[in-house]
Amino acid sequence: MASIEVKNLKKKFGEVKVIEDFSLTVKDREFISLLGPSGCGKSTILRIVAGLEELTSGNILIGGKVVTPLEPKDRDIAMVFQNYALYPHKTIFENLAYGLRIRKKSETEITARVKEVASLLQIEQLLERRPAQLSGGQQQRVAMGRAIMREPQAFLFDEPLSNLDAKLRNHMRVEIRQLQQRLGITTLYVTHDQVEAMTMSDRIVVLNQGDIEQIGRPLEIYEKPASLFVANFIGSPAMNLIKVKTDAGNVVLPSGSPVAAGRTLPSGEITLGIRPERIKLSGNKGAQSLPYRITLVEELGSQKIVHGNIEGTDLTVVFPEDTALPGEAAFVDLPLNYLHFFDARSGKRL
Amino acid sequence: MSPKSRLYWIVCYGILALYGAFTLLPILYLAVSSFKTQQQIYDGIAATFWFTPTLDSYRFIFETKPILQMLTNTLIVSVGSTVFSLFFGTIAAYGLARYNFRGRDDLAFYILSIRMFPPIVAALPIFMIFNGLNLLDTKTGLIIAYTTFNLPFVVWMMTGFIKAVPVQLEEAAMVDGQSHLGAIWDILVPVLRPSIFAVAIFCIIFSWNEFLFALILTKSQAKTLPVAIPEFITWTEVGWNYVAAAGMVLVAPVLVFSFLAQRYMVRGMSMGAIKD
Amino acid sequence: MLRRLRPLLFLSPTLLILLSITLFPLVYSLYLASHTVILTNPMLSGWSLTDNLREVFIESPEYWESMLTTLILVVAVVTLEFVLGLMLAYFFFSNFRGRNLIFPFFLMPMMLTPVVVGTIWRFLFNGEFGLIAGLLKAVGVENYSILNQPSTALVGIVIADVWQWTPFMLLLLLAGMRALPRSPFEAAQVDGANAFQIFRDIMLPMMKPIIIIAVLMRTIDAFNRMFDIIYIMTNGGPGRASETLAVMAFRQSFEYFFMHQGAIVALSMLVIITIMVKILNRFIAGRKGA
Repeated sequence: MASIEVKNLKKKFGEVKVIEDFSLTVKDREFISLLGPSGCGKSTILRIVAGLEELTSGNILIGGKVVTPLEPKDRDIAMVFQNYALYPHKTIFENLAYGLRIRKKSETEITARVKEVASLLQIEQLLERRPAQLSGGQQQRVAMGRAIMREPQAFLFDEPLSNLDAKLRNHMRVEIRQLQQRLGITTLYVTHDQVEAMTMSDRIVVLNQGDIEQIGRPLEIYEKPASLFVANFIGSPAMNLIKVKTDAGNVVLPSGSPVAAGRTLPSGEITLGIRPERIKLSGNKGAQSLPYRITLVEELGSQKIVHGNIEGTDLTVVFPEDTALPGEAAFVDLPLNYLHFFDARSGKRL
Repeated sequence: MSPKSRLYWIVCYGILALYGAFTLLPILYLAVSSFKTQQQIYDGIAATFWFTPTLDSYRFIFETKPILQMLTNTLIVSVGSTVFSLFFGTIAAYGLARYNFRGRDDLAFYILSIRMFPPIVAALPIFMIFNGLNLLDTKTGLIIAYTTFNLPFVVWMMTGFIKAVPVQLEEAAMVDGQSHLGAIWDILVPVLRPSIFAVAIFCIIFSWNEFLFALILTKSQAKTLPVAIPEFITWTEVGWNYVAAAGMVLVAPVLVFSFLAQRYMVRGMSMGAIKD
Repeated sequence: MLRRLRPLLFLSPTLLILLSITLFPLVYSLYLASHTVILTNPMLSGWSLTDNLREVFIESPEYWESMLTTLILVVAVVTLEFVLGLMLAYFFFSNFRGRNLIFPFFLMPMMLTPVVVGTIWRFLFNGEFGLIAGLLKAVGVENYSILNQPSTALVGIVIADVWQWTPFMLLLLLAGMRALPRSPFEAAQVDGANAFQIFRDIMLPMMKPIIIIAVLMRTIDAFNRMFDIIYIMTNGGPGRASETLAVMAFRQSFEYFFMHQGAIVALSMLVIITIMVKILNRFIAGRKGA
């Protein structure tokens, strides 16, 4: 039952500024993901919140209480590490019990709580084993179990699923989200995987080189990316980004063909973005259609990813599996309401 | 590796057998000689391995020389120097392994290079300094002298071993509610126990076998067994059976010990050179 | 801010100990080297660095003879130990029954006290009753001992050292072989290379870093510690035939009691070893970067 507040966080490693000025509030019971490529500072932020790393300036509040000078042990948080960090010399039972043992809880209380958590995560049959005897997925569950043992004020996750195979990852994603909702614990979750961030979070913070690019609900970020970086980072296959010139109410493709923008844009160079799944591909020429040449088709089973170009400008299109592809004479429509425009220099959304 | 031809195996077994004999023969020679009488030593090559064994040589050296006291000295100095070096060395290794600070690599290299300096360079001045401090012929003095090679060794080895343990283990314990030192003691130390054991074995063996410092720095009270070995050799060399017996007393514990702890030793040795 | 000082907290006890056991002796050595210090004659003293240097390096050939002896010994033992160690490691790298059973026996010599090793070989080479003399007697050579001949004394020492330290090479090189990735070997086999070509073209080049480290470590150690077995086998003799720098430093100091000369010889060893250690460090650092 607590919020996490990060206020004007700055972090330098020696002379290198890693985080310039970062502020964020994770509301009570909220699940927020820190999403970004490796080296964007997301893990550093998490470790500073945990108290494992010192900040250069700024403040951390957990449950309204300033914890900045406190050691990790006094912050009442729990953390799940990428490599799980299970204690190799302790049994699973003792791994779970460790936090309570430090707090000198009674043996009966510890046993009862371990049983409870173990049954919640369906790891009762593993309690007597040691971490080395467990599979990756089982270790992951134990790491989760250790985190919820003490009913902490906040969960911190540091890429907890990246060591699992794809199938298990999908499964654990759902499980972590369900658990978090059931227990109602405030969560800060670090990941570089956009699918994890999109599917699990209440809100996503997209980070780039220590700066916040955008904060928003998953669909907000998908539908209204605040910058070129976000547009490029979210979505798979990635959004088509085309450098164009503006001309009155139109944008002009590199080939010279005009496309209606449906709004007024600053004159000069801008970047046009459109998601592959929003493009209409057909064999019929409409009023706004552009000629499209297909060069390669990737069959995914559920859909086709079509690679091709409009008069030399590369464009990727997602096409439903059950429909037949047009042949030589193909045309694409770029629907007005799905067009994104970005300032070519600052990358900001227009 | 690929399947090998018959010729390969003939050469392989042949050379291993030859080298194995070369390796074992001197040790056997030491062992059998220690169970002979002075007369039997001269009985010629045919009687090298064919004789009536006797414990006379052992009885003689224990009766005429303070072997037991020297053995105790060797043990006390070895264990003392090992414990001392392990304690401070492991703490220092933690600082080197877990913190990134300017000049760290240079510092690690300085510590390692001490281990590689010629012992004679340290031995001369240490003799003069101990002479002034009344530390000559004391076990304390010898323990301090042995620290010159054991402490750098411990720091070097333990730094590697600690680096191999993910720092997240300590961090998880700290998040679980443990203090920094508590996390080191509760989590890191138990995980490192086999490594500490391996390093300790090496320190004990280095000290047990040490000769130069003991030769220079001790006379009688703190004299260790290796120094006593040359004293058994008179210029006529008639006491070979006694030397052999003393030699056996010195090396048998190491051999037994090293066979028992072989797993740890091979691991430790290989780790020292091949760090990943 | 306290956190920045923590590594210092962990390191300071050891650094204090190491500084006091290296810096004081070093300064004291320099003092010894630059004065006249004769243990049996405490009256003599005073600054005499240039005289001392001239005595050791110029006026008598002994230092350079010992240097040559040391170099011959180091080159001989390291070469032999490397070749034998590599060969044994290669055999132990292939799978055969009983391998793990016999391996520990091959490692035994390096655990033994060097003084005892020296003793064993001294007696093996003994002209009257040694095992080798016994064998020679069988072919008609009476009372011959290589340790008593200036021309062959070094051979005896080399054999003893090789016997003791080849296992160390074996252990390091075998660990190096086991750490190699398998795929280049399989690729070479698919490409049609024979066992010798694989050894020469794949295994040796890939093992270069560990070979360099192993050889340098043995070189430094042989240079430093070529004392115990010589002290007991020949005590530098016959004459000065096997007097290495370490033995010379010892004899100057504790047999003739010219501490200043001993200190100069020892310090010269320190200079040489520092250069070698620097080279070793560059290879270790290079490996870390790779």
